[in-house]
Amino acid sequence: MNIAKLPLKNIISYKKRTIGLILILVILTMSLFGGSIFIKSLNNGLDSLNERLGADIIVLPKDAESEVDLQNLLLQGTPGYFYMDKSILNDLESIEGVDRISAQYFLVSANADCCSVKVQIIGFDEETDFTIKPWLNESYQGVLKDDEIIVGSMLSTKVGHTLKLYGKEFLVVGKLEKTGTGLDTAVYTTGDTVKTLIEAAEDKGISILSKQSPDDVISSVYIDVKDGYDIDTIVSDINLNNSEVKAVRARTMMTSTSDRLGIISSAISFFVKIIWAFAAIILIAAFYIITGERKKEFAALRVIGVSRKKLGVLVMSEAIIIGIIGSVFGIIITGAFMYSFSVLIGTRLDLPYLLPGVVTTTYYILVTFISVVLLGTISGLISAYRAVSVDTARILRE
Amino acid sequence: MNYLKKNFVKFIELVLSLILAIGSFTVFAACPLSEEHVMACHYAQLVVTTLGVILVVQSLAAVIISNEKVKLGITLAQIPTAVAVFLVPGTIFSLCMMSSMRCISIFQPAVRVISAIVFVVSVADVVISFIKKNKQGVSK
Repeated sequence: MNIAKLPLKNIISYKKRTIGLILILVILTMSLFGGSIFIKSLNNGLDSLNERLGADIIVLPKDAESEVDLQNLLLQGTPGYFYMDKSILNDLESIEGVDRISAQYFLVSANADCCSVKVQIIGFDEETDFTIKPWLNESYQGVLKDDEIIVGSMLSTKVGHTLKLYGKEFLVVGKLEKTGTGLDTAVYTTGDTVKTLIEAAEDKGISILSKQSPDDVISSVYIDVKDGYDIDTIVSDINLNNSEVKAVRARTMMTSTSDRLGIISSAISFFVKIIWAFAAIILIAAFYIITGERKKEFAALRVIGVSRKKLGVLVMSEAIIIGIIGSVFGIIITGAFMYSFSVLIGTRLDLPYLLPGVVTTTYYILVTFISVVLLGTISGLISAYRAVSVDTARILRE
Repeated sequence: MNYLKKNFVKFIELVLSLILAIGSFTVFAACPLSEEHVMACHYAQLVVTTLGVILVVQSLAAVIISNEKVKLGITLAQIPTAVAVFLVPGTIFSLCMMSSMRCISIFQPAVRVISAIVFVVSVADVVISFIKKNKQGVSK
């Protein structure tokens, strides 16, 4: 018999033992890899949302619900609409310290032909916009013409294709980068196209959740503050001088989300550590007990001339092979689940959720694989030490 | 008990096929039918359910039939069926246009994960059958 093949033969022959050990390692891998990907996705989502807001200050109508509505739109993609008089834009422009300023108009569609759900339509000013077009996924240098739209990444239509809203075809000229937020499900277009949409809806007799024209009202104003000016002072200034609107720092608006995310991340990290501690103890104990039960087998191997060193290597090899199988299975299962159901996870969480890219994922795969195999190796090392310490003569006498 | 042990992989295939066939119109069904219009994903769901039922029949036949060659043939036939199921949502049949909708967020990943497992299990079953057959040939 070829001694080198013995570890593999042992693994195949003792099925129950092997499956038990592999299961522990799969759980370890899933907790480490899944936990890492999950936490990274939450952090990516929040970073992406902060970047995508792209403004220092957001100005909304003063009614209590508008801020909640905007947060729901950003975090969950729940379509919302609220309006304030467009004249506020002139007042805000004249404030000292305002660098860039751009208004947006929110419209909620009835059911689009594509989907059985409502679609958020965001009308923006092409000349002043600094929050939408920088995030176009494919280079689009042109100016949006009538009946042209830009879509969020979660709309599966492609650039150059058309999207039918209220029986009217709109040409998709750009697609935004994925953000992991509610902004991914929106349709972006100019005020003129928004008016066309409202008219098309009325022609079809479909009730649309706004009768107000973008010529008269706006939903939100995004302000970028010049360097050297205090953002909080400008926020206070806007709130003091304009009773009908409410200015909020973009960062402040995301504080509660950031806090929730921090709590979830800490809880997951804690559970991953607990699972690892318990699983590591169980794994080491399992290998130790199994080695104890295999004393006769080791003694027999020593009798047929297998050296102590070779015996140690055999036991170690078994542990490493099991570690490799367990970590590979764990990574495949976790990866398949996390990546296939990422949209569902993000939707259920009500938090920005953006999976890491290929490089970061590869890094996590490698770290998980090395960690799990290393733990298997350490368990094997302890078992190997016990195996080579076997008093062959005594065991055989027993 | 021995029968269950002997046909263990076939029973796994049967359970997976049942999950696929029943789940495709219950637990992980595509978007609900709207009164206004039937969406594209509805047809994808019908095809997945049909192929799921075919997989159930194939798996059941493989469990019942005792002839090893016929068993192998049925398992071989399950492989392209599993591939077809995998390709139905999103590739052969287009789904709704928003990724957050049920057909893309639940139906498609669930169907793909289960059909991928059926594919892997069927391939493994075929490989194991060939290895066993070769071993028997050598021992004879």
